[in-house]
Amino acid sequence: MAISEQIKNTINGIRGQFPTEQALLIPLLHELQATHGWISIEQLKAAGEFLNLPLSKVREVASFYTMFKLEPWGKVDVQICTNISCWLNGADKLVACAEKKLGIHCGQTSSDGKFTLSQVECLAACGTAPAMMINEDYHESLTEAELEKILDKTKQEVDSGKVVGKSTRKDGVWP
Amino acid sequence: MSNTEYVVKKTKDDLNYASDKKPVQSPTGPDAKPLPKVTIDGKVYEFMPGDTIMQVAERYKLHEEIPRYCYHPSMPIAGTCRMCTVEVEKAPKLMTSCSTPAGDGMVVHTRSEKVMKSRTGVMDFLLTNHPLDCPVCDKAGECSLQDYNFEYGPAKSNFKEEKRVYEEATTKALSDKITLNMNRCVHCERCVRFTDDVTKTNDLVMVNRGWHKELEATDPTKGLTNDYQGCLTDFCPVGALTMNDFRFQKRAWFLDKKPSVCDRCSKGCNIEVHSDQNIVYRYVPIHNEMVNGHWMCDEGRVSYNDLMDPMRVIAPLLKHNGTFHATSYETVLSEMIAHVNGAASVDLVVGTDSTREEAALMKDKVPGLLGRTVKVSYYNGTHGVETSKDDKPLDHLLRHRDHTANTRGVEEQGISVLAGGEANADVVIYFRNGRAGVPKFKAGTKVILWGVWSLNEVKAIPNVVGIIPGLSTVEKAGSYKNVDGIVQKFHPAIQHKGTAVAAHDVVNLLARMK
Amino acid sequence: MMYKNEHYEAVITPNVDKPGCETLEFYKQNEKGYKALEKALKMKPAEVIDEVKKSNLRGRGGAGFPTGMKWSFMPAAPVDAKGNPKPKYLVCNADEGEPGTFKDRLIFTKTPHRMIEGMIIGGHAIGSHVGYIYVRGEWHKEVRLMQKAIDDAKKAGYLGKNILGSGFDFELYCYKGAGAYICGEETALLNSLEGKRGEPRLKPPFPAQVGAYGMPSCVNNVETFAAVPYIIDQGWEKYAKMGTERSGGTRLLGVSGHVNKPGVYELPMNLSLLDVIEVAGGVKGGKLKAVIPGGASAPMLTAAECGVLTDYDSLAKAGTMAGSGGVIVMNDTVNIVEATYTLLKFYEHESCGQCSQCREGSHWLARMFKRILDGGGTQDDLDYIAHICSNMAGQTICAFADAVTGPALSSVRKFRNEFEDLIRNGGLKGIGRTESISHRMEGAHV
Repeated sequence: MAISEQIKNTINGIRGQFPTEQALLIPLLHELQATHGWISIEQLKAAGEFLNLPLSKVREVASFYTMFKLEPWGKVDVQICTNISCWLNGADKLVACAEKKLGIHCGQTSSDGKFTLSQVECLAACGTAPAMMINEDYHESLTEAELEKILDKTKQEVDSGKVVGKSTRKDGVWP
Repeated sequence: MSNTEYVVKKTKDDLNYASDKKPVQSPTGPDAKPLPKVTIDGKVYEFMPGDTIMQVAERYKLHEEIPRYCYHPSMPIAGTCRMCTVEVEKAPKLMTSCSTPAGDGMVVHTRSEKVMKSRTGVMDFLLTNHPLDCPVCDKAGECSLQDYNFEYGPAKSNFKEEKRVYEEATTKALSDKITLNMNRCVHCERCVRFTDDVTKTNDLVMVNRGWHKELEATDPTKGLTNDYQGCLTDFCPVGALTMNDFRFQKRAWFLDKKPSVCDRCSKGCNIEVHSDQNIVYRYVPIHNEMVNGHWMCDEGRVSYNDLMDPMRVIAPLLKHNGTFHATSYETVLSEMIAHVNGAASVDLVVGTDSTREEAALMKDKVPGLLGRTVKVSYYNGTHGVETSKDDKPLDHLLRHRDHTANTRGVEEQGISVLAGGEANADVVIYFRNGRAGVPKFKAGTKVILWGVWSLNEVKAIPNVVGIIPGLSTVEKAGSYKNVDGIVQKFHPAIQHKGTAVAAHDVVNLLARMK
Repeated sequence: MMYKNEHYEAVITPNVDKPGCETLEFYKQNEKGYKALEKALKMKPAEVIDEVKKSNLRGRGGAGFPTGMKWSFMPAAPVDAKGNPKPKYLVCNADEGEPGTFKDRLIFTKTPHRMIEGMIIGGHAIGSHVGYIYVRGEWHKEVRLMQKAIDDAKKAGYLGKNILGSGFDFELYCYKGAGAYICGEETALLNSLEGKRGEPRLKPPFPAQVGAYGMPSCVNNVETFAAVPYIIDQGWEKYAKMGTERSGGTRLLGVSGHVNKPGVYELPMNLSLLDVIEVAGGVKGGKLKAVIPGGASAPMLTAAECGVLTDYDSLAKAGTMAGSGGVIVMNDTVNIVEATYTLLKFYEHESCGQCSQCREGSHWLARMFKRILDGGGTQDDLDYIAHICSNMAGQTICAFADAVTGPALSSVRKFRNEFEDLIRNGGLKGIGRTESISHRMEGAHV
């Protein structure tokens, strides 16, 4: 799959900020990730062609960073922080609650491809633990009841075809 | 162009140690500035500014005391395996000798207690996840992990957890030449740096991070694409990358190792012939910075298979009623003399894959022994190459268009090129070493083949009346002049197992028969 | 005096609880916004560096290196092999990811202009005309807030060409990481900024010689930059006086875990950890058991050790470190082995995997702790943990391996009885606790 014109424009727009083409790789992968929810090998190849980089450089970078998903991923990426401060403040209960609510274990994607649930390492929201991320948005100081509410709302939104968890994102605008 | 002439010889069993660094001495004279000095294990050594500690050690051949996985003298420094650490006085931490520049007055200890403990630690860690399947591993016997564990490893491991297993990559084809066993990998990433910086093909990639790092072909649908894949198995310190050609063929410790020269192109890479009972199991490159560095191409590496070809002519043959029959040297030679005497014109064609000595023999001795006018010329016939001027590099590394080893050496004898690539005398004697092409022959020309030939090839040549077998490069002594003008002498690496004899023995017999 | 320090005043966070505090207008009206920049641009770069040096400002990212000294390492007029001048880069490390640390996020969302001003002053001081802010990838909202602040500052003439008519040019760009803790290490960050794997580099060469894009570069933490405007505006003496002999100013401490009022507190350094916990509303849900005083990598302290002051040197003397200012408080309901495993599993996940010891060791330690939790531990294991740690610490390219040993070693040393309890009784089940759901192997994080 080729890279859309909009993404190309976004990347071309920040070209002048960096002295090398390679520096644009991570921004480009971010845009692909945000647009498609995951990045296929074809897109990695196209990324390499767009930036004049060998595929090996693209693959080693894409697979190093955990935010880039290289296999099909749920439309809604639910990530619950289970690192120390969140763990001390009951992240376990959130994980259990989300697993029950979504009917999947951490690391799994729901059969309709809408939700992927995972544990994530420290989000730097320890003062408002426990925290989680839904796509790009943080949710903090959570209780199980709030989590359920958020998941219900998200489910509704995603079922009705809305973009969820990207409240501050503007397509075509970096960052 | 250099005019160096030397005998190819073995440097060190293990290519991972080979280095061309030489000792240096401060210039003398009143205004001369002395070179900086470093003390390594109590002795003072001069070095060139900019040398790393490892490079100083290489200059004075101390580097075998410094174990390494990721370091390779012909690759960029990674500094990640942490095996080559040494103690530098006044430095708070151990330093990697591969990456730390030597300093004037620096005092280095390569085997202090602290260093030995650190190396034991690295071994302890690397062995935690290694499968220890040495009994079935091709690398056993020449494996850095084994060698270093013998020298530095902990006597026992307390690792009680589950080992990391890459299920799909336990036996995974990276190409038709290379098989990967990721479980054995110690993540030195020499292979990745090789494809990034040496071949520049970028066809290997280490994906994921941390404990899950995994080696993959960059494009899994294509696999490895470079022409130097065999080198991966030379410098892979463990049995992670193995060459299919050698897999499960022979335990490394049974191999006899003799130096020779690869005759597959005009580069003349220095090789080590690994054989047992005169059967060759593989070629590996010998480090020679002037010729091939640490590398050799895959075509050359597996070329020993031609030598071991069951269709190779290893006895004198005469054609009778359309089929070849084994005979004696005397018979085949007297038949040749009869043909030559009855012919109006005779061509003696020398393949450019012949050694310098053989070419001289053909030019200076053979016509005299035949007792008549013989036109001597040379023929190349590989990839459109006629003379050494047509030769060109095929890539930025080693491979050359001229697939014969000694075009320059043959030209040097004053022999002229076979015009138009066509031998049009009534009788043609063609001597070659199994690599030069077959020239065109005039219809009706009687052809006598001499040297290294395969019957499969001979079938396609009309009017072959007899074949005199010869020795191939690794079976004989001689010298080649390579594309850069470097003359390389070699001795037999194995003994020929058939009845083929050296060209000068045939010539001696001819002289006696006269 | 609440903070036992007569010189104390909030340097960075005086107004972070006020609405609109993140805007340029607010910053200019209430916090003398960009006044320090005006002053600094009239000073010579060397004078700015001198001011920062004398203020005793130390890096707030974790290592605590004196900032002025770091700036002075930057070559004055570097040239390439052909004699052409080389650009210099100023880089802000906003890859906040040390578990327990969340102070930089507060600066990003509440007082971004203070950091921007600090960076422009820093750029002037080291002679750099381009600055990069490397933001952790998860901060989508935060990076956009920062970008807005940059845009506003540029519109107001604080960024771009000929800033405030001084002839000094400075541009500021945001760069997003993509989920790798190791990119908080400055050379890994530089690699990531170049679009490469975030693997720490061999040193030497140091970033001041070969940094971002091969050019001389200087990397500082968000909080470090945010402290600079105050130092320039109020003078080094005032800032230095607030702190201790060898480290000036205040510190932002993120207090989290079992406290009643978790959050970021800007505090002087002559408070003890117990005071800090008091400020954060005291321990909740039980009695104090242990504190990690400087982010996950800092060795933990027992309740009895928490009288220690929170400045760099006192904490170092107590065998731990000030680190990134993440104070993690644990009450007596916590099983230390479990808590440590939570951290070790994190390190196992985040090791970049370059160095043998770190790649294999961080995994080994995590799995060993898990085995002890599961009931498969032996007494030998406890000694072997120390052995593994001794083979990791100080042996690798970066300090990650040392960081892993922080919690691993201190937990065994200080809470050995809890390990022995698990070993004797067959793990968590044997002492009547259930396994934490997030500690399962399957469904581990991605």
